Amino acid sequence: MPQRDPDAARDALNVGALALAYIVTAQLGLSLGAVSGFATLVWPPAGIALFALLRFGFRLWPGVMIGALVANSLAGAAAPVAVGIATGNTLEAVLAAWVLRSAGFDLGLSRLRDAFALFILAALAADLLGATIGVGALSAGGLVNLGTFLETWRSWWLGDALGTLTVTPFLLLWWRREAWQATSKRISEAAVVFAMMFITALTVFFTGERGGTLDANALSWPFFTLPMLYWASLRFAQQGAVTATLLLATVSIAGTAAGYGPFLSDTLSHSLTLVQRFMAVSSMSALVLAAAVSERDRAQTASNAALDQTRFLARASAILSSSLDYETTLQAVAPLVVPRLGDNCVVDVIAPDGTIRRVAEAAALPEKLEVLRQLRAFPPSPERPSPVNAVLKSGKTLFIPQFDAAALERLTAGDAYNDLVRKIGPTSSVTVPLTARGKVLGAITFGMAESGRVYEPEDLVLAEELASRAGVAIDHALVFRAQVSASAAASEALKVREDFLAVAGHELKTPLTSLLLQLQGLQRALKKGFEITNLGDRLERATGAGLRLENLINQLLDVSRISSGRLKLEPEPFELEQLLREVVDRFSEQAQRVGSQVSLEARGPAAGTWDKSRIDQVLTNLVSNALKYGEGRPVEIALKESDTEAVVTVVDHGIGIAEEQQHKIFDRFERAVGTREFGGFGLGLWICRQIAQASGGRIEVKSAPGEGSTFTLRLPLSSQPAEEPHVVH
Amino acid sequence: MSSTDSRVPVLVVDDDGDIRAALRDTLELEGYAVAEARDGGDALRWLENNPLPRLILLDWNMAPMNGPQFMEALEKKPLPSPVPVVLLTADARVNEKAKTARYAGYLKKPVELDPLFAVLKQHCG
Repeated sequence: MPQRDPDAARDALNVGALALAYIVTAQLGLSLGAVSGFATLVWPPAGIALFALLRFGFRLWPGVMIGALVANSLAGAAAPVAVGIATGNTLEAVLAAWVLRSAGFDLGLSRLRDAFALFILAALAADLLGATIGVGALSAGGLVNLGTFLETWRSWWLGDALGTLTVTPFLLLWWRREAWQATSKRISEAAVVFAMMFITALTVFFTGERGGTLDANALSWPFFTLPMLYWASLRFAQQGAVTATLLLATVSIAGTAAGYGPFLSDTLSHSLTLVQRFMAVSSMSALVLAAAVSERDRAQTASNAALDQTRFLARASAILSSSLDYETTLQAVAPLVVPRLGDNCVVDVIAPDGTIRRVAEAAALPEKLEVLRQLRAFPPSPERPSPVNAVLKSGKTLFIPQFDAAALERLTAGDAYNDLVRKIGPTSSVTVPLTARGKVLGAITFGMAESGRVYEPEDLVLAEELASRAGVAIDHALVFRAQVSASAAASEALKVREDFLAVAGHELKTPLTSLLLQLQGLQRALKKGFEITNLGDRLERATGAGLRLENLINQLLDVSRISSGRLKLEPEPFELEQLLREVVDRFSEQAQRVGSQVSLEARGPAAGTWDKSRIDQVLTNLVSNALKYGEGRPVEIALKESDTEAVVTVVDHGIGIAEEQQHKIFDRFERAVGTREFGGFGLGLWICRQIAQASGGRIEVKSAPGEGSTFTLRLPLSSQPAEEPHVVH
Repeated sequence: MSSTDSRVPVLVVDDDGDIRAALRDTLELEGYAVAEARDGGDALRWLENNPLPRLILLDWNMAPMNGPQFMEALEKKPLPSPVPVVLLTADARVNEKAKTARYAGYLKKPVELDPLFAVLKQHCG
């Protein structure tokens, strides 16, 4: 047994229902006096057939064929004639449906063109074809002669056309049931307009002398029904128009058939012809009026929506430009987009360090907002693919019209992130990039969830428009921040330089003062003829001051050389141990003065090739510092030698250096302690480090406040300093 | 009080030993007795333990206690009788401050001898 196809079964049922409806309404039409037996002036089946094919598809055509065959056979047509008529009826409906579909006919008749298409393509053209084939079949069967052919043909056509113009729209509109909002006011108004329509129609079409003849005076009566028809069309659009039209058609046909009304003529068929002409014009007017009204309403709605969007964007722009703190402004904008652009919304930006950071979220439901906030714990990352990642990479909008509910369910249960996503329950999302000047700065994601709403194309446009404004706002803020920090850095650099110049001025003036005091004092004594008893001491002190000055000036020159890359090393082979002993000897007097015991433990000889005077400078600096900051406690100096390097350590037990200062002491113009307590520029260690590095070595410090410092100088024994490559001839 | 007694010293307060030595050399040759202090605190201690000096030559920028701090301390605990204080400084901006505070005068570093001896003469005779 072949498997039953549920679709085929349903189609068969529909075909049967259509055939039945066709037969029943055909009997109604045929009962109202048909021209030549078959050409009825009232033929609702034509309208039903067209409706069925338009609404449910061409595959229902057998319903038309069967209905027409049965109806005509029941009316007494011979089989060949019935087949001919049924073929005409079927072709007519199929053709009408086909041309309307091809013309882009809207089943809601919402545009003027739809009303005209129904009138011209279906009622005029297709029904004309059906009438011609049908009457052709009748004449072929000998049921019409030349004398009655024209009248039969005209009646057939008019009957079909009226079915098409009244029944088809009525069924289409009420089948869709896109009902107007049924407020009690609207229902009352509808009741009034249709009651008035009904009473007026009854009055017009059921008065007069039964079976009387055409009364010229009565011809003006039907016009009194038009105000109600137009009222219904204007106020209740297509549904109002088709309902009032059908009501009017029913009453007018019934009245006329019963032998009353203004269109009463000598024969029923002539009377009905007059009624149908009236109905053709009336129904057409009503449909056109309703279509025009809905076009105007749509335009109004569109313009309202555009105005609304403009206002929305204006509000968003105002917020975005209210501050350069873009995180705050984005947080203020996010709630604005809910519910307009989604049930929830999140904003991510790319931080200066390249990481993706969530800056704002909003949700229509407070409990979902809480869930979104918890999602902050899971920033987008390459390991966790998300629409945000994709958009940040591509810089293009990503629209996901429908989240796969099953896929969402399949997300690993127990994973905190997946559980949160499931709680949000997204159905659809739009992620738009935040861009400015061709750079992707972040992304806004709008999502639908509990409302089940869908995104329209204009929503995407609005989302992109909003994102582009937000992007520009972020860009402005970033540019401003960059300028602020650049200018802060510049002014900081300026301040460091100014401070240094103040220190340098003071430091240079101090030895200069003692030098000049000595020299001027000696001059004055000579002039006054005083006997100078301590001339040797005074000259020594003057020389000392001069040497201090020279040392300071040399430091300044070193800084200048190093800064401009002009520090030249002149390496020569020598033994480091020998040099270290010389330096320590040089400080014996000073060590005695400050009360520090200086011990030297040298396991040399540490022979290498370095710039001797520069290494001397470094060692001198380290020993001098140890005595200066050593608070009179012992200073231990050691030299060790490995296969690759010579290591000199200078240990003091003085004031020490705080952890956070340790990296600064090697900076230019920096010093860990106040300037005045210990003279000098604070350039010494910076110069030492530069020399050590230029010699291929390095210098380090370990220290704790109050416990002293250990400075370690490491110099390579074998490799040549990078600055002085030996040229091979 | 100003004393012409050459045994009453001039107190030199400066944190730079070379400058103290140079001032001592120069002043002693002219017949002034000289006492030294390394900073404001050292000077206050010296003042407590010795008879008043005839004049104080005070450096502005010293550590740990600088010139202004020393003056503040003197104001809180005045000397038995006023001693003129002459400010020595390398900082040109100090002029205005030196005038407002109770300084007998000020000298710019490097110090010229003529103004130095003029000030000494004015206050010590």
